[in-house]
Order: sequence, then structure tokens, then C-alpha cells
Amino acid sequence: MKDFQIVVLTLLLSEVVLLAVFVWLPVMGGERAFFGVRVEPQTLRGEGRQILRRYWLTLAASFVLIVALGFYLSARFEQPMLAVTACLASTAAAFLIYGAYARAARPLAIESTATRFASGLRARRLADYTHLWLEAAILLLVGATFALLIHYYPQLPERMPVHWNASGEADEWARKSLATVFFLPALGAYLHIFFLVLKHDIAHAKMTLPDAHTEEFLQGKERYLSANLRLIDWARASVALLFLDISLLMLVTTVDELSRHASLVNVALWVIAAGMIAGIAYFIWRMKRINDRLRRVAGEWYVQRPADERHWRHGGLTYYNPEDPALVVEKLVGYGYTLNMAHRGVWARALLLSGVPLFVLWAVLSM
Amino acid sequence: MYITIDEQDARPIYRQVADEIKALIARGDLKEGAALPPVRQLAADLGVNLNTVATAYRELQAEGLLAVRHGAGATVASITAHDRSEDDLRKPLRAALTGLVLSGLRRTEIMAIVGDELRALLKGAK
Repeated sequence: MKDFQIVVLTLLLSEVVLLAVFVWLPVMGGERAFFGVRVEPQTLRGEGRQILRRYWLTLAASFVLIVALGFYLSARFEQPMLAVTACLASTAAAFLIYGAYARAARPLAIESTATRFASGLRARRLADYTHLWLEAAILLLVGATFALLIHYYPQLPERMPVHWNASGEADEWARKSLATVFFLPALGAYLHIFFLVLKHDIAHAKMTLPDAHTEEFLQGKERYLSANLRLIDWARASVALLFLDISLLMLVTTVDELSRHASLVNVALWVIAAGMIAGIAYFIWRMKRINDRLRRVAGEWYVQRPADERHWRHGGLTYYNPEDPALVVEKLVGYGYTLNMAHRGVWARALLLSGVPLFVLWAVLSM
Repeated sequence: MYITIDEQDARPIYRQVADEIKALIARGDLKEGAALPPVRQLAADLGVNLNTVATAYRELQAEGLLAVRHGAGATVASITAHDRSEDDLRKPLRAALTGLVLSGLRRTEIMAIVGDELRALLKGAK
């Protein structure tokens, strides 16, 4: 299959996923977070249902129009960038539509009246969620990637493969340079620092407990947190392995003495990628199960003070609360965690995140 | 193990936090040397100001129950509060009993309530 078709198919698939997410978004929190506001169960079935139906209709219409037009033009002129633009436009449109209907849902909001809250008395530290052998293994993998590339650098040809087809044969080349050889391990090292900061922040995420079923909530929330951090660990280990293997792929296709290992390296790539996806799916399933169990026992799995409830913006998608000392809070809409945008720590995280476009820029400029 | 606060309680939040931790120490749930969460974590979980929790910790430190070291967090230093005069100890009890008497309860009912509370408090303690 040609690259163009792969790109378009991947985009189309991601569009389907995106549409599913936006269809589910306003109702995944039930009456606790209908478009980001708390409503009565009967409102959700009556007036809320009407808003929801109109939202779904508008959403579907905008997706079909934008995506169909973008993909038709993209196929007509064989320009994958047109399909990418259509995807970005449909995402932006979905956000706008969600925001508009969130405003329509706001008058239905009721405020919770809970005044009693609890907190666990166990200190949550990153060290408690760190396995030394895993850290050592990741360090070893990243170090090995750099060591191998440095060792073979003088032997590498002037024309370096930078892209491989599905059977592991190189089909795109670039001039040999530090950027073409070391881009991937450098990106990998950056990602490991990024993931570590993420792990640290999530380990310290706010964990508000209700006055009822406190013990069950404490256990459930701690297990949820632990599953979330193990998901990040799984991703970190996978990325370390994946980047080592892709670097090896570059070596086996350019250095003659290593070429006999080509098939092994290529098979390993598929095994690692499959393992990564399977692991991530497993941990997400686990997190959902923990929440479902908590909901069965306690009737809900999300706890929030009425004072904090008012600080969700954009239909419950972003949180801005200067009064809240927490940097990371549980998402109101959807699973996982999000940032308190009023916290000063957000700037440091944004600075760290700006490394991603810098790496892309580096790759583009050096090709 | 957890502590609970009530936003509608007449006592200030720092008082409630300190009282809850004291009750856990009295019950024997928090042993000597046990580590407490950092001020930042407890404040975030309860959605209160950092100073509120810091004040509660300082108060417990002044009574000799907590040892607060900068950076290392707080640990339970002792499971008995500093010596206080008997009169100091009686004062809050007298206030609480006054409340019970004014609410119209009979002497035997008050005795039953005091007995229940004391039993619940000492259940875990040695």
C-alpha cells in the first residue's frame, strides 16, 4: 500500500474515534457532568435529551461535511495535507459545537450541597510508585541506543535510510548528519523526562473523598492512581524498547556486518508495538473497572466540593481555580486527570511541552 | 485511615483538621513515628488553603504531638500531649457538657452519651 493511502486511512480511522469521543463526551459522566454541569436525572431524560439530540445532529452533520469535502479534495489532488487540514478543522468544529451546547445546558445546572469531605492520611510520593529495576532497565535501553549509534557512526554511509516499508526495506533516504542518526534517541530521552514529570504530577493529584463510603473510595482511588501510573510506566518501557529497535533497524540496513539480524529486528518491531498497544488497552480497561466497581458500591466515583464545581470551563473540559492548591485534578468529563490552569506550575509544564514542536522543527530543518 | 472536615461546622477548618488527627492518635490508629501527608497534599485533597493545614500542623507541633521538619514532612512525635493543667483539660469538657444540659437531656442520657463517645475513642487504643 502506498504511503498516501496509509496516511488517509489512519486519518479516517482517527476521525471515527474522534467523532465517537465527542458523541460520548456530554453523557459519559451521567447526571454528574452533563456537558460539564450537574443535572437532575429526570432533566437528563427530558430537556437534556432534546439538547443532546440536537448536539448529535449538528456534530454528525459538521463531521460529514468537513471530512467528506477534505478527503474528496485530498484524493482528487493526491494531497494528504488536505485530509490533515480537514481533520484539524473537524476537531475545531467539534470543540465549538460542544461549547455552544454546553452553554445551552448551563441553565439546567443544579448545585450539590455536600459540605463534608475526607482525605486519606497516607503521603503519596513518586518513590512509592517507582520500581528501581524498571528505571535501571529504561536507563540501560536509552544508554544502549546512544552507545550503539555512537559506535557505528563512523561506519554509516553518507546516504541514510529514514523510512522503511512494512517489510523492513528502506524506501526513503537523507544525508547522514547528527540529526538523522540521533534524532530518535534524543526524542526518546526527552520523552522519558516528560513522562517522569507527568508521573510525579499525577502521583500528587488531588484526591477528595466523600463523607460516605470513605474507606471504599480511598481504596478505589489509590488503586486507580496506581493503575494510571503503571500505564505510564508501560508506555515508558515500550518507548525505550521501540526507539532502540528502530535505531537498530537503521543500523542493520546500513552496516553490512549487522545485516544478517535484519529480520529479527523487524519482527521485534511488530512485537513491541503490539505489546505496547495491548498493555495500554489493558490498563485503561482496569481503570474503567475500578471506577465501575466504586460506582456499584457507592453510587458514584467522582467527588467534588460545590466550591470547586463552579470552576470548570468550556463545558467541563478545562479547570481554572485560583483558590485550589492542587495542580492535577481528576477530569470532570472523561477518565484520567487534567491540570488546574490557574496553578503557577502550568507554565513550567507548558515550557516542557514546547519541546515537542522544537523536535519536529529540528527534524524538518535537518532533512 | 482518613480525616473528615465539615464546611458547615462552627469550628474553623484548621481546628477540625487538628482535632481529627488528635482523635486518630488517641485511638491508636496513628502510632509514634507515623508519617503524615505533606501540607500541600492534604490542602489539595480537602480543597483548603495551604496555611489552614500548616496552622493545624503547627498547633499539633506546639502540643508536642507532631514533629514537623522542613522538606521531610510531619511525623507523629508522641502519642501524649504536653502536660496541661487539669483546669485546662476540664474547660472544653465543661463547655461540651453545658451544651448537653442546655439541650434538655437528662443526667442519665448525658452519662450514656459520654460513655459511648469514650468507648468509641478508646476502642483502638491500648
